[in-house]
Amino acid sequence: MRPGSPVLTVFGLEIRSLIRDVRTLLMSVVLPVILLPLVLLASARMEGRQAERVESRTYRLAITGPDSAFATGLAADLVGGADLEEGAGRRFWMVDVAEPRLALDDGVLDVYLEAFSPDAWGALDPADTAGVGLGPEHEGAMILRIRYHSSRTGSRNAASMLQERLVEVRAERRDSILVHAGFTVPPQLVGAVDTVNVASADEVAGARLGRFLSLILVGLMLLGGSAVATDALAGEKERGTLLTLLTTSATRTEIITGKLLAIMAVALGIALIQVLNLWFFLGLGLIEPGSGFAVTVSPALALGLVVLYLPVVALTGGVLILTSAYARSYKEAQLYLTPVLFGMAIPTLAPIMPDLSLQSAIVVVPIANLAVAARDVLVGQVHLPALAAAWLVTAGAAAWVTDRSVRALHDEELITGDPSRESFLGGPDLFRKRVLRWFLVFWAVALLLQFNLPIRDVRLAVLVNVGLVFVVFPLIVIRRFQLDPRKALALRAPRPGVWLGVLIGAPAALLTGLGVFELTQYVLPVPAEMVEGFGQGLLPEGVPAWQLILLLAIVPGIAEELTFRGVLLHGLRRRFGPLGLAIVVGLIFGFFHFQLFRIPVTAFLGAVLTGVTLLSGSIFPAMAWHALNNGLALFLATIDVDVEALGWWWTAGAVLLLGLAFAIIWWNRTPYPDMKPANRERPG
Amino acid sequence: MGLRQIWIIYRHEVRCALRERSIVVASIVVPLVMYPLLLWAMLAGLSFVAGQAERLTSRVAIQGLPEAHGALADSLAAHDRIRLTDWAGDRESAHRAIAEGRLDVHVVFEPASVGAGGVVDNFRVTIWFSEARDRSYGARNRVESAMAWYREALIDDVRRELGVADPVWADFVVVRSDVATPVEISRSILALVVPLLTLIMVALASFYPAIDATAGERERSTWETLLTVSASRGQVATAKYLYVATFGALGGLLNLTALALSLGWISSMVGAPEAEELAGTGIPLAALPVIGLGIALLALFVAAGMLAFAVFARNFKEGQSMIMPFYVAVFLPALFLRSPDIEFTLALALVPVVNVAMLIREVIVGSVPVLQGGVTLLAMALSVAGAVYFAQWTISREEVLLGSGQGGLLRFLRGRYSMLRRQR
Amino acid sequence: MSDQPVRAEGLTKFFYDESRGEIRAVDGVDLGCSRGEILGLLGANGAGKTTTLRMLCTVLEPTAGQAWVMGHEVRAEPERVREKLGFYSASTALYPKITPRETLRFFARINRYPGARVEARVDDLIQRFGLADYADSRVEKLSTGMKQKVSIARTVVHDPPVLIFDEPTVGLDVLNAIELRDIIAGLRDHGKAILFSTHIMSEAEQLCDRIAIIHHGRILATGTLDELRDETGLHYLEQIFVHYAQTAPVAMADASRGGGRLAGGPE
Repeated sequence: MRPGSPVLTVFGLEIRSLIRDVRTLLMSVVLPVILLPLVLLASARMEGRQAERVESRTYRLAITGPDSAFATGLAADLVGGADLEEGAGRRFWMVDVAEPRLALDDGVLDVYLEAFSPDAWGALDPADTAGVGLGPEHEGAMILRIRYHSSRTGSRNAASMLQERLVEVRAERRDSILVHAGFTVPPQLVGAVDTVNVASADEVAGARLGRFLSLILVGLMLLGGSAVATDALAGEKERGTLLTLLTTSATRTEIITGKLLAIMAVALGIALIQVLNLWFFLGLGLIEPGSGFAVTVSPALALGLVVLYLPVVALTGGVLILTSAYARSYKEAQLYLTPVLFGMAIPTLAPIMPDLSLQSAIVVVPIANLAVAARDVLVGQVHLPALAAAWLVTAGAAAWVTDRSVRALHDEELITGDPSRESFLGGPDLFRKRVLRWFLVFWAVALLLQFNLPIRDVRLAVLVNVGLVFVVFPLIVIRRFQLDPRKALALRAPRPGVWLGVLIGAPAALLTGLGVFELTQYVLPVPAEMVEGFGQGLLPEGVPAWQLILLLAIVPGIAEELTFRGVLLHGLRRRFGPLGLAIVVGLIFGFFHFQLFRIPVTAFLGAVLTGVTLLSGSIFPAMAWHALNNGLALFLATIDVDVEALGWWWTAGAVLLLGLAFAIIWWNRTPYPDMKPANRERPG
Repeated sequence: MGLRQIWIIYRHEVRCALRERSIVVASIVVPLVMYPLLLWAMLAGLSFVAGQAERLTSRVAIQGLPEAHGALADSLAAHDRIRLTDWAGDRESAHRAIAEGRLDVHVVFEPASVGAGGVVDNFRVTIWFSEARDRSYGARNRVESAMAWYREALIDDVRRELGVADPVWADFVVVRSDVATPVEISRSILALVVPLLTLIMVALASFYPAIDATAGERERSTWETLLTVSASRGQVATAKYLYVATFGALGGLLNLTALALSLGWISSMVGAPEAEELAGTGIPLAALPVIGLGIALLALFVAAGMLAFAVFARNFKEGQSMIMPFYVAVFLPALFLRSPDIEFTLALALVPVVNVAMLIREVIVGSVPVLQGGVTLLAMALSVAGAVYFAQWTISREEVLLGSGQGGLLRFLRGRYSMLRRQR
Repeated sequence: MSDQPVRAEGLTKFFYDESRGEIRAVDGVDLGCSRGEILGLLGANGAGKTTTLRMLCTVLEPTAGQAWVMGHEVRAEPERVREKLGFYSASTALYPKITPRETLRFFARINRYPGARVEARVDDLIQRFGLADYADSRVEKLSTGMKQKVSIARTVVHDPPVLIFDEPTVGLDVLNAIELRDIIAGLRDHGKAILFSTHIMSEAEQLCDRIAIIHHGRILATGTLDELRDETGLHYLEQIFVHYAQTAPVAMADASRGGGRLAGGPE
């Protein structure tokens, strides 16, 4: 880039404007630089004081129960008198109370110990001892019960400390029993276990740091970069300088590149200032570097990390400038910033996953891949091809996002603020533009209902949740945008042959879906209890079979299809090709099922149903298919078949059958009307 | 006082605000939707991480296990999350494999140096692992606990041979029993969360309206229009103040409502049993008026503070920069309320904002700190009055109204000061 | 192809206006402007002046038709077009945090003015526009009149052969407006081709060599003031304008007709 090129000129202007904007500079650089160590310092001091208090606190203990003498003997070395300093174990004051339970409730006691002989324990009210499982190895043992109040920190700590100490005491007593019985070898030397850590202190610290480094850096960069980014396009629109800039001979790409470079420089600069700031405070010893976070960073490692993070910086800057490009004013840009912040933070959490290797699917996820790579580098493990792939993927994503910003500068509605044809005219055209926004809101509402519906009866809950919500939403949309219900909901008669396809396809797709579930287990493994718990929640006991079928198969079949293969598909039909539609509608359908492990399978079903609707031109086959699918799943759940044990040939057969079903529907097809034409020229 | 004029302006401000997307989102949508969204994200994240962790099998290489202890290898092999692998190479190559993540632990058996006693082929074990790798660390824990079980069995055999009787050996067993009810547990958690979130929501919900009522007016060039109507400056300022406070309180109340709705979920997430029965019982009913009062006081204080700072701004951006220090000043002390051990002393009751947060915390766990509550009320009333007076005073200054007071609060105060000196 | 620096043929833009529905904001505009000539676009508010000029400076893309600036087509070579023109309107603002000198430097560089000559050019303009006293204080501190001078200076800083002034005198007091008109006349004498839009009759009368009357998106008449007088038999421009506006066919496209030539028509 030669000096004086438009890119550098724009870059210079941005940087100069920021430096002269004293107030923004104060808020986005100086204030954070002062606050960060201050907050860390204060919270470290507070935690330290709290730990000290836990360390030094003496807890009030009472010992009761029919065999309290036994317990008192055991606890003798726990309970201190004046010599509290001596012996780590002496941390309890013995308190004499008549009613220990009341005293515990009132906070007069922190904890109390009840001692029972086996007989006395057996004589207790069974309700009192419920939940305490005593194995055969405890036959004839005394029972010591620690009673505490878990909503009080002190009581919790006291209980843990007491338990720990008692277990130690028991081990000591056993050792001495063995020695008394004539065992010559010190018992702790029988099968003695030693553990050795092969990782160096630096590697361990690197692993710890690597988990959070990306989150911290991206967070700092977003906060720093946003100061320039909101001003860069949204602010220019507000001031009216964007028009001036657009009438110069600089290209849109040059303008965006110049501004992007400025955002990147500031983001990186502020992040570096903060890192150095922390370094300084760490160096002074004012802040303790958490347990084992002290990693030595050689200049080469630091340089490597900077190079590694470059695409992350570019992508962060790109996302910021895109946000700014879509906002009409500074205020609007600010409003979009919070969701962007959260959205960008999620992929940086990837290194927290245990044993997530860069040589896996994560390599194609921008930011997440480099976050994992950074952790690997800090641990001293570098797999160059995977690292290069990750770098390129994130760099590619950055380029794509930047290109979107350039296109946004071609959008006349965004530049001039005049309403576009759709937003002025309203109606069906506007719906095509707004459909995704409406579904996002709908998703939030559905989530709210799903979690908060204060209805005890499962039947009523399903009826409201699925039946009502998914019927009402399409109606609202149809009314708001004056859609033709027959077109919007694809209420057309399919050709008769389609029904045969549905009959074959529904069971085939169900089995294929199970295969998909198994496959996704490799990427998204799910704790087994969670799946079981879901199954149990779904099949309430004591509900007649016909009601189950109605509520779990027929109602969702009709209602959900109206929403997804009805209005959603209608709204998106000109935005994607058939395959894209199947994927997008499927995914959105999946996300409406909330639980993570259900999303892939339901997304698969959603994609299949979208295909059926696109080929038959009608929503009715999809409704039948959906109801049949749910009904079959319900049936399989009630007869308790272990579908997983069926083996892969069942899945293979199901895939073939599904293909056959689609072939039948294809032969009887009535294409969905008014789709996106095959070769549309690129906008912009 | 002209309440009618105030009411007209107030209604006008509120109506305009309800048509402003940024205000509706920050004051109404976010407080309502945040909990379900956060819960969903947490749940999804937790199930993802749990699934990841459960899937991992530990790759364990064993070397030099004595024949007599073959049962140990069998028990390890029977563990469905442990996979035994043969390791042919030397110790260094095993360590390298661990460091590179190809192997999780290397378990090396050696004959014990001390005498066998009653144990055949007594041994000692070294478990090599890497603390830099989660999977290796988890594998070490698995192997270690398997070893502990095996040792116990070994020693149990020994004591049987030595003739130590069962009850003597069993000695005693320690069990824990929590006397706290699920309601108490959930209240103790709510007491930590609710005050902070309420404060955040009140501040967030007042933020946009405060800027809208001042800098927004200047951006739209409607200040002068508003000042030429037949209402006094004091009335205009009062109406605007009430409008900002209304939205702050609204945000706080909606936040509380959303929380009450999500309570069943929150309790089940923290593992309180019978979570469903809990819904709605988490916050004692008697505490609600106090919490409501607290929200109102917070909103009144925050609104006055924000207006006083934002009134100098000429556009949204300036408004944001000017409010930020106040925003931070309100938040910082609240951050330190996370600790459950802080006591609500009389001294704390004198600190505005913090005292309300502490009061809300106390009433949620069911205690009634009458004295501290009274002091809180007094301290807040005084600080609200002070803040309102200050905001009123600045808003009524001509140089502020006409936007010539560039440079914010500090420069304005300096200007006033030098003016006073000149007058003298 | 004629050698006119600015030329437009059938320039058309559909536009969507809150109050009037879908209209052809500009409907088949043909115009040309020669060197050393000021072409005045005369029309009422919303007649299509700004839209036409914004298409010429490539901020908006024509729905149909073509336009050339110094031989470069606006859609094919937008960057070359912008290099050859300076655009000034009441809505093009200045950056508040930089000084007039920096502003001029910035716009000279970004418009690819030869780097070695930038400083000399900037100094020259500062002298010519009388900016010397405040050339190094920030733009945000300048008065409206000073800002306006800086704005004009930045419009011409890269010495473009074509200048477009979109209602430049809106919001200026009489003295400032007169000064601005003098500057524009001076630029014409330096051989620039100048497009000047206004809704003020006297301004068009005094300043423009030729006048194009634009109404509801269409050019109703073009010519020198004398030619227009001859054609209508009226003396005052105001009368001439009213004459054309009233006798014009109803050119406004009503909203119900829809945009046949736009992609994705209504259902």
